[in-house]
Amino acid sequence: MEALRAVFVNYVEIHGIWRLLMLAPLILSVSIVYKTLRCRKLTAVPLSSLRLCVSILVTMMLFGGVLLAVYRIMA
Amino acid sequence: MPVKKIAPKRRQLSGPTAAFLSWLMPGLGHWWIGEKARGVILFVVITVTFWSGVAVGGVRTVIAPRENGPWIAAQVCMGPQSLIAWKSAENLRLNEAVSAQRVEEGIDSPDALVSYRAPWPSGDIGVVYAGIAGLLNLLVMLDVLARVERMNAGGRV
Repeated sequence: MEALRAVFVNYVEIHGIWRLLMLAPLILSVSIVYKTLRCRKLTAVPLSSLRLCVSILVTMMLFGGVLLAVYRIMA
Repeated sequence: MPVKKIAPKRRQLSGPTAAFLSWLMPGLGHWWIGEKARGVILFVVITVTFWSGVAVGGVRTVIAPRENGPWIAAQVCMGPQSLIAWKSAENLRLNEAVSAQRVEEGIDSPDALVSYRAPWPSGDIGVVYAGIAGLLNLLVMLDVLARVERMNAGGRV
């Protein structure tokens, strides 16, 4: 019980690339919930939510890349 | 004389009750209207997202109404789970206040100062996870309202 309490009382230190990687589980959760609500058949949920998750991540990375390029050009 | 068949009367469900059940526990509204598998998936995913946020940022930093501004409104959409987390965060804040007072009065040394506050970015990531989980549950509540309306109108769920 004390160990379980410690999990939620103490924070986890996040550095470097993990700041970006923490985005993936959150986007996966959003994708699963969205597709669970939208899909008529639940058997379609895993594949379609994975597809949505990948497309969101790729789009965000593209946006990030474009913004970085614009920043470098302007700087 | 031909016997006229009468279709069995559908049970009319209450949308607000279903939405309230979803607030009580993510997915419970869907379970109540008969969408049991959907309800279980929603419960697992939303609950895991919320408590992952609390684990990453620590309950003291993640559930902090005065420090996180409007995020608390999103987190409260998680229902009693967020209220339990809120209560434990208040207890930790109280511990911090007592510790600070003891240090100020010279009873304890400054090394003994207790703080549960998470540094950047752990705290922010935790706040966002818990807030997004609450917003997802709000989406679930709206969805169950729409489903109940369609069911009561005799349409497909």
